[in-house]
Amino acid sequence: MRNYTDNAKENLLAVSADEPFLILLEIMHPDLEVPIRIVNDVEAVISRDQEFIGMPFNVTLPDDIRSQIPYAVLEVDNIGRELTTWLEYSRGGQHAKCRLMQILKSDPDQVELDITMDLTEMVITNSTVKAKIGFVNVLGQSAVTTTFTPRSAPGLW
Amino acid sequence: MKAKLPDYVDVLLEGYAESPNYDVLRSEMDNSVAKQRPRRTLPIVERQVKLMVGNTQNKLAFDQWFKSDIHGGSNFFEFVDPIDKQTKMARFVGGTIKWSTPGSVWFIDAELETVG
Repeated sequence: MRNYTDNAKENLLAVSADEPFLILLEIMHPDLEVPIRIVNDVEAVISRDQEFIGMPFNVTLPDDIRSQIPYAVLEVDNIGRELTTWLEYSRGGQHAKCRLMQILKSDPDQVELDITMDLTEMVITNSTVKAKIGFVNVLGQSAVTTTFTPRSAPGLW
Repeated sequence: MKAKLPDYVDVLLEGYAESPNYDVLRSEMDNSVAKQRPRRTLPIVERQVKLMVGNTQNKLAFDQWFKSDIHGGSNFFEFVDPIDKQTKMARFVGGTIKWSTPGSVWFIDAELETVG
């Protein structure tokens, strides 16, 4: 359940909303001294003393479907190839964390939605970089290298 | 250093048109009024412009500026908005311009985009 402020709820429910919801994106990585901070707007935004540079990107916010790990999809344009260099250097952005925040520009310090997730499954083309932002499925991972089951080791049973 | 539209270039009133775009999201439903919301805080304004460049010497100088200063039309340059006289960053959409001349004076038909 998302806890939006009354102002944000009014904006969400309005037939004609008076301002856009902006998505702030913060990418953190052990190799980055300062996180990458961008906002999907045409100009920069200062939120809680941090500057987010205006840059176009698409984001699909995480859903809430039963028996499925929630994930968001992020798509950034790759014209200029600045990201490609960092992705190669960081071996595909391994161990990168991504923080998504939703704000209204009229009150940029009030964060309406704040989620931090892992950055995974990067796909790079000439024009875009697409990534899945979600949680690594730790519970679904195998705990041991070899599992002895009646099928793999019938002599034990 | 920021590129600037050369001083010998004038924006003509003839053929000038502009279209601000806030990228408004609209949801059509079966009934009642559709919901709408802007997706940008400032518009991206597309402007149809006719530029008067002048004589052939200016035309050749403009071609050189287009090639070296704004790299084939891909980069932004400073442009004075003919309506509010504010300096804005503009660029040629798709890096495309169209030269024409009725005689000794050269004109450019182009589409510019600016933020705000």
